[in-house]
Amino acid sequence: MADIDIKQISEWFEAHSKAMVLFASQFVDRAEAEDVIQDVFIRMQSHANIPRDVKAWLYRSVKNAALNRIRSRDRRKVRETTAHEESTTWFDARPEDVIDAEQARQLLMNLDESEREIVVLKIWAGLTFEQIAGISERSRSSVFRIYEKSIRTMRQQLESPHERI
Amino acid sequence: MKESDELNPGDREFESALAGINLAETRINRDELAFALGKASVARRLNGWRSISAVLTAVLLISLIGPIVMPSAREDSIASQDGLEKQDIGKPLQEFVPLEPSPFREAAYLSARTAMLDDDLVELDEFFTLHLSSNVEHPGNAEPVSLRSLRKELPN
Repeated sequence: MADIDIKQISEWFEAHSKAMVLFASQFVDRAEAEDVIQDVFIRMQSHANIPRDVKAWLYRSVKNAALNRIRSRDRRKVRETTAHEESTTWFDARPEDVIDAEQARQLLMNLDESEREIVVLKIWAGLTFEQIAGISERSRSSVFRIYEKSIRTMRQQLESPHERI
Repeated sequence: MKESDELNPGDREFESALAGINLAETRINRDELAFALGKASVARRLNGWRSISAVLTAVLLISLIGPIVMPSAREDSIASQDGLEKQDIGKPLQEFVPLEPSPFREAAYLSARTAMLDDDLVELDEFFTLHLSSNVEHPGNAEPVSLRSLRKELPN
């Protein structure tokens, strides 16, 4: 069975790894998220054919791999290591950013897991609602509704930090 | 993006601001990944060769052990067909049909041979009558075989 070219995989890694790690961090802690990404690319290499939609395949694989890791651990331990409790940074702070990196992280953490998943896939992974619908196993319209609601919620929280929507 | 057009302008602006935030660097870099990919690829190929060599070893072992194991199976089959015990296979036939040397038998043979050579039919007939009539019977006939009746049946 022919492997997918390492150079090609490295290019995909360069293009998607950061967003993939952020996406995996919604399910597992940062260190584990990085392991998940590496595993996904290694698994991808053994594929005889390049997936039709590489981007969607990568994120779907990340989600499946992260959920498999969660399932293989004790539930109590999972709760301790979910995104809410972890303290590692998701974003690099830059002075020119309109929204502060830590602030953005807090806004994301205030969303529930399915909302965060959709927001991360749309904004940082750059997937279409169609692709997200496939990954999150929802209809396209449902994905859009959740996304729209999440964006509005985060925006309102940013504009009125003390007001809980 | 067409899909973002469905958001209101305020939300779209907020969406753009979020998208502008720089994602944190990952611990794994491209070189590390390339190394891990190479390692995994080599491991997979090694596993492939290991599987092939295991299969070939199994085939070799079967081909070496087969000839040792198979004859006993053949012996069983032959023994069962012939109604013999397995341990009887390979024993000389003499054990089953003992032919002890006998001066009488030799003398009878010699006289029969002489009769044949001399075409002394009377003596040959006597030989058959005296020595072989109890063993050699005509198929479907209980009467002893005489030389004349034999000669009638034999082709010229």
